[in-house]
Order: sequence, then C-alpha cells, then structure tokens
Amino acid sequence: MKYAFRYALAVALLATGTANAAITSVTASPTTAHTALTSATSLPVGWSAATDVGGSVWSAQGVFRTATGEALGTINQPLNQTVSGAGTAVFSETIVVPVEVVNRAHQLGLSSLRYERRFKDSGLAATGAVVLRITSAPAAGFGISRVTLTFDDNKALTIVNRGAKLTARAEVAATGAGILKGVWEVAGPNPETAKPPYLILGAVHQALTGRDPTILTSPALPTGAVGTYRLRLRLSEPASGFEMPVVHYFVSEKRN
Amino acid sequence: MKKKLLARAVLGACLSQLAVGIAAADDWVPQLLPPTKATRDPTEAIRIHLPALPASVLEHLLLELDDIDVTTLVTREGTDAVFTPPTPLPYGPHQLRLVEYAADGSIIERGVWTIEIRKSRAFREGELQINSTLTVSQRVADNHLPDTAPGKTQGSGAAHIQGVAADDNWRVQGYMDLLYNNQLALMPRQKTRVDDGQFLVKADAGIATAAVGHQTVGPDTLVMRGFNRRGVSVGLGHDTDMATVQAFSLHTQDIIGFQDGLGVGDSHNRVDGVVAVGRPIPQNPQALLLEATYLKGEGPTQTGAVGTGTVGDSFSSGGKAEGLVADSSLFEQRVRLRGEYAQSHYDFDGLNTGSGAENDHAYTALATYTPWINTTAMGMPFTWQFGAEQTRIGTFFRSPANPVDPSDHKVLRGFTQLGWGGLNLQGSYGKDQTNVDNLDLLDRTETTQSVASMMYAPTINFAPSADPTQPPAFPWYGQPNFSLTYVKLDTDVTKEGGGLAVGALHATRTLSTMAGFNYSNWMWSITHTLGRDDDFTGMADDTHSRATNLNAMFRIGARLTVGPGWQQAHVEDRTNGELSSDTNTGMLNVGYQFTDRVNGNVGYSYNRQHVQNDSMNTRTQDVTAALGWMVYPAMGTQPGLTLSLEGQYHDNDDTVTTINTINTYQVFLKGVLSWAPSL
Repeated sequence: MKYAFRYALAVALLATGTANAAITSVTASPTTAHTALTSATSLPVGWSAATDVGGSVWSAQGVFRTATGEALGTINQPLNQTVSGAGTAVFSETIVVPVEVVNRAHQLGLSSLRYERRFKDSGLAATGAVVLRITSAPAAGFGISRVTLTFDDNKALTIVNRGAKLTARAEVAATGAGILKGVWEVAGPNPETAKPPYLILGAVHQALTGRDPTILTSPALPTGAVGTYRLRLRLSEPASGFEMPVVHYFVSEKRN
Repeated sequence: MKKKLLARAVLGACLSQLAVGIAAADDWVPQLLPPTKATRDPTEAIRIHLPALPASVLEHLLLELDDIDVTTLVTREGTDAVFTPPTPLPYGPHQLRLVEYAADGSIIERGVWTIEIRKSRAFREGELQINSTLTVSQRVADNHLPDTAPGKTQGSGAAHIQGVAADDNWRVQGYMDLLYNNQLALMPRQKTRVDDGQFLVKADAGIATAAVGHQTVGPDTLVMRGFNRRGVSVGLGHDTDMATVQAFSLHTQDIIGFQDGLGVGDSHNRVDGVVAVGRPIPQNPQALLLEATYLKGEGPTQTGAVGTGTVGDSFSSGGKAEGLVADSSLFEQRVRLRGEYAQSHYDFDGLNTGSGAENDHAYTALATYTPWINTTAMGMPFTWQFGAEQTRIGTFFRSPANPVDPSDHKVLRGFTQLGWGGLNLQGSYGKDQTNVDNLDLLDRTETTQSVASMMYAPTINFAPSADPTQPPAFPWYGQPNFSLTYVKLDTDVTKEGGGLAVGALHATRTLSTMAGFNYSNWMWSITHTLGRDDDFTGMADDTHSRATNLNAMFRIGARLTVGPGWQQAHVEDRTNGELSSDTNTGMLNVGYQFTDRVNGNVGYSYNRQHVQNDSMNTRTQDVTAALGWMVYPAMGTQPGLTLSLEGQYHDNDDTVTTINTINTYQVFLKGVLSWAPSL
C-alpha cells in the first residue's frame, strides 16, 4: 500500500514536470568530426542543453548510432549539471570512438555514424548529435589512441639501485595530426596516496602525424632516495578519453 | 706473430727464473696440478709443475687458454708456473695448452689439458642472488596534507631474486621482482600489499628449451612485434642450430602481479602459436634465414593492463595470423635482402557476434647495399650504405600479437647513410599511402616524408698534461658533439571520402639541433627545436613551436656534484589570434658525499605553465632533500642498515583551477634494511 502511494505520487510529480518543463534544445560542438576506420579515436565534444525551468540537467549515456537509428555502441558516462532557472547547461567530454563501432558502420555500407546524447531535466528530453565521418587515420581528428609506458628495461614495474640511471619511454599512437603537449611527472619516494604531489621533470612538445607510433623518452628519473615512486606522462593536448597509465619503480639500497 | 714473439719473450723472462742449471731433455712432461679444493673455481690460480729446464727452453714456451695466448699472465712460484685469471673464468670446460717453439722452428705440444670450472660437485653452475630492501618511514612533520593522507608510519620494500643452476648439458636460470607497500594505493594493482613484477624461468637440456614467465618469442615480425608477455613456451634447438622450432602460449594483455598464474589459463585472453626458424645453408648461416610463424588468439583491448592506457571497450576480439620471412646477407654482408609476407583473419567487433572476420594481408621488402666495408678515406674509417624498402599493411590486417604496427598503410622509402670518421650523415625520402584496400567509402591520404640528419663528433688531439700522473688535458672546448635533424612531412588527400575533398591536408616541419661538450669533470649540452604545424582543412589549429633545453653536470672535487638544467617551450596557436602558451622548467640537483657512508642531496624544481589568454596559469615549486647514513653496509649474508632524514616541499599555484592550489611539506625519518646475499 505504501509503495502504491509513492508510485502514484511519483507519477503525479512527473506529469506535472512534463507539462511545465523541457529541454528546449541540445547543441553539439563540433557538429561534425572525423573518426578513423582503423584506430580508436579520441574526440573532444561539447554539449549545450537549454532548459526552460532549470534544476538538474543530465544525460545517462552517449550512444553511437547509424543515421537510421540502429545502435552500434554506447559510452556509459553520465553527465549531470544543475542550472538555476531557465538557462543552458554546458558539458564537455572526451569520447573515444572504438574501432569496432566504426568497423561495424563501415560494414553496413555507411560513410558516417552519429554520436548522440539525450538530455533531460524534470520534463521533456531532447537529443543532440555529432556526425562522425569515417576517414583514414591521418585524416581523422587529432586524438590519442594508445599510450604504453615502460621503463628502459621494457618493464612496467622495475627495481633499481640507489643512484642508478633510469629513464622511461612512452609509446604513443594517435589519429590525425597536431602537437602533443604534456609533462613527465614523478611522485615519491614517499608519495601521498590520495593526491600525491607530482614533481614535473620536463615538458614534452611533439608533432604527431597519425602514422607510426611515436616513442617519447623521459628525462632521467630521480633515484637518489630509497622507496616507491610513481611515474606518469600527463597530457594537456590532445585530451585523451581514457585514464593515462601510471607505472611504479622502486629504488633499493645499493649493494656493496 | 709479433705479439706471439713478444709473449714468448715475456714468458721466457718469467720462467727462465725456473732454470736451475739443469741440462735440456727432449722428453720432459709438464704436470697440471689439481685444484686446492674439490672443484676448480673461477678465480683460482692454475698451476703447472715443470721439471727443471734450461732458460733456452723456458724462453720458448707459450701457454694458451681456449686458444688465447695468456703467457704474459704466468708467474713463478717455486718450480711451478702459475696462471692467475685476470677475470673470473666462465663455468664449464676450458682447454689449456702448453707448447714449445723449438730451435728448428717446429712446435712441440708439451701438454694439453681440459679443466672444468665448477661451483660444486653437484652443479657446474649454481648461484642464488637476492637484492632486497625494506624501508620503514615515520612522518615526523607535515603541513596541509589531505584528510585522506596515510598514517604516519609507512612501510615499503622490494626484492630482485635471480639464480642459475647447470650441469652436463642442462641449465636452469630465472629471476623474479617482488614489491611491497603497506598502502594498497601505492601498489600497481592496488589489490595486495605484496605483489610480483616480471618473472622468468628458462630451462635448457640438450636441444630442448622451455620458458615460463615474461618473454618474447622469436624476432619482431609483422605478426608478432613488441609482444613481451607472460606465458609458457617450449622448443627444440638453439640460435646457432640449423633449425629451431618453438611453440608458445602467452597472455594477450601484459600482466604483472600474483594473478592469472602462468598467464595461460584464460582461453579468451591468450595467444597460442608456433615459430620455426631454419638456416638451410650450414656453411654460411647468414646467407639465408627462413622463419615461419602461425598464431591465433583473442583478448580484450589493452585497457586495464599495467602501464597501458588505450581507448576501446571490454569485449573480446581476436583472430589468427601467419607469416613467412626470408632474410639473406650476401657478398660478405655487403648486400642484405629481406622479404616478409603475412596474412590475418581477424574479427574486430567481437567473436561470434556482429559482423564476421576480415581477411587481409601485409608484406615488407627491404634491400640494402654497402659498397665498402672496413675502408678508410684520408686515414679515417669510411662507410656508405643505401637501400630501399616497401611495406604494405592491409586496411584490415591485424594480428593478436602485434599491438604496435598501425594497419592501412603502404610505404615506399629510399635511404642512405654515410660515415666518415666522426661524421655521420643520413637521409631518407618516402611516400606513405592509406586506404590500401581501395575502399570506395574511404578517403586516401598520401604523406611525403623527407628526413636529413647530421651528427659530428670530431676526434680530439689531446695535449699532454703538465703532470705526468694525470691524463691528457681536454682542449678548452672539451670533446664536442653536434647533431642537426630536419624532418618535412606533407599529407595530401588524393582520393575524396569521409567528407574530405582532394587537396592538401597537413604539413609539419621540425628542425632539431644539439651541441654537447664533455670534459673530464663536467659537461654541458644545449638542444633547440623549431616546429611548424599547418592544417589545411580548418579542423585543427596551425601552430609554431620552439623548445630549448640546457643541461650541465659538474663534479667538483671527489665529493660534490651539481646538476643544473633549464627547459623552455613556446607554442604559438596561429589560428586563434596567435595565442601562445609557455612552459618553463628549471631544476638544480646537488649531491655531496660527506664520507664513504654519509651522503646528502638537495633538489629544487620550478615549473611555470601559462597560456596567453590565462586559460592556464600554474606555477609549481618542489624542494627535496635527503641526508643518509649507511650505518652498516650489506655485505655477503650480513644485512645492512641505512638511516635517513628526508623532506619534500611542494608548492602549486593555479590561478585558473584554484582547487589545485596547494602548499604542503612532509619530513620523514627512514630506516632502510637491505640484504643482498649471493649464495
């Protein structure tokens, strides 16, 4: 009985909202982008969702579809923002277009697909879309496809003696062309766990052309004190749609 | 011949002291004395007892170890000739030979012995080395740490274990890395406080081989490249044999830690295959090498593997691939010809779901010619090589064991390299096309790449030092080395598709220069790079960039080292109103060795990142300092103890994302227990 009452109340509230509120428009930026057929492509996408009542504006997931509406894949990353009164909620995300999604669209004989998001407030929902045109990798949008981080002994976790020389290398695969910008950072030998203060070792500015993977070599890594260190390559451009790798090394005491 | 005569003279000088006025005898026999212990170890002196011989005989004796003249290393002890190895001899059998050069020019072999260097009676080789460290640190002071900061007492440690055992025709060797941290968040997998990194155990017995752990099977090919994975392999034959075959089963994703056992238990995350290598011309193995590979496998994309980040999803895809390589070095290695063909059958969108698998193929062909080998020009070594290669990788070519090579490109490239003394010149020109399967819906791009580079390290004529005990002095400019590299890339759309019209797409120019100068106690170097990136589609920004690196290292006296460095990078966005961004990084590291057991170091780092429109504006300063006292060094089986006082100061000002503004410090008292036995 109690649940029936709650359900009736919820339906009543929803009906009220539906009658009085709505997402009036959803705009994507860019409206058109290029995605590679043979490599996963990272693309930055911005959304503007206009609401006539405000409150919480949200989208549960993004969906890759054909122009006729057939779903090819999803990105289960919710977006949520609160707007006070009528206005526009602005979102930004970096999506990754999986190669199998593009491959399936190509096998259906399509030269493009869509990435859609349905935004909702307390009333009616509206949908926006980015058209993704399928191209070869060098002509696709500039984005990172893959980053592999290893030390100079080809390990993702290594142990070195105090004072030893150590460097790391990042193998970066990309689509499109542009300048990669980032910094090599290290935390240790007693790093915080929640938000470790990373020490910047050096900046990276590297032209990428969407062809062969590029190898980036780190500056010399600190090995002066015993303990655990964390190393990462933090990219500021282009944005990557995935969490960048962090690798660990341990500096042990020298043996006599 | 001159060396042998000289060696004989020296041996004569050493051994003639053994001559005790005894008459010559033609049938004298030397006697190899047994080792002092049950087995002969790598550093033990080898003694040969000689009868009393006249100096005229001793002067013409020569001792060889494994066909190498070691006569100059022989000394006299009583009536024995004693050879002391300058470096430990490798385990296993060695041949010792004593010969006499007779007055009539004949060579008389006075003795030939086979000695065996052994660890013990049980094993020819047997060694276990552990290099382990355990630290306990106590945070004695801090400021502005987050509420989630770990407790004041923290522990961490690591161990590298390696060992070998061998006898007769078998050999087993291996290693393992172990890591410990009492904070799960600081472990690579964040699941256990003790975890392993890579490990490998290899065993050989006769022609049979087996390996368990992280390994790379066979040389890099189109079907298997950069594929160092945990797994199991078994094989027959070694690299020097006419034929070898190796079967393997490796985990598709790179994994570390105590998980997935040997890496072969999950058939949905595994690559199985076989590699066969043949050298059909035994008298000249390099004349022709044939290699065939077949493999099949499946697995998720590399998301989640330690050390990787990649876009993609979580479902399994896979397929099979096979390839054949022929590699030949001819005409005293002046000519090299290499060809490779591979084909794949790969299901991109998940096995047994969606669309079916795609078939495609790939090939590479390489030819190089080196007209002169071991030649000099104007008294300096001279080499010149030129060649060409063509590579075609199909649009849908993909091997489960090649995460490196991109698909869909066809490259034709010519290259040359010239070396003369300290000068090295390289140049290449190539064209790279996409859409090699000529798909109707897809565009085609063509990239032209030109690369020219020069490296120069002149040979220095050192002036003799005024102090004869000191090495020759460097000239004022030290030992210089220079390099210059220019890369030009132009990408055009040559077939419309995907909304792209035929025309210019992208252009990149990069010019890099470097100059370095080394001295006996210090060095410095400077690099400068200019870049220009132009987009002709209006979908990306045009940029101009420049970066300068300045580094130096000074060793002042025997105790002090100072290493300053500076890096400045400037990127100008020419599309958005010449919006520029700057990154400046400076650092200074100072180390001082107070005594053999007490050392200290201080490091300072400064970083500033700023975008002209203030969309980014951060300034970071870090100071680290450590003072260490090695109370007891780890020696043999005795553990060592080091105490240290360490501090970290971190100051970050972010005027855009102000939540990132933070100012913290921590001071730790640390005890380090190290144990490095070698058994």
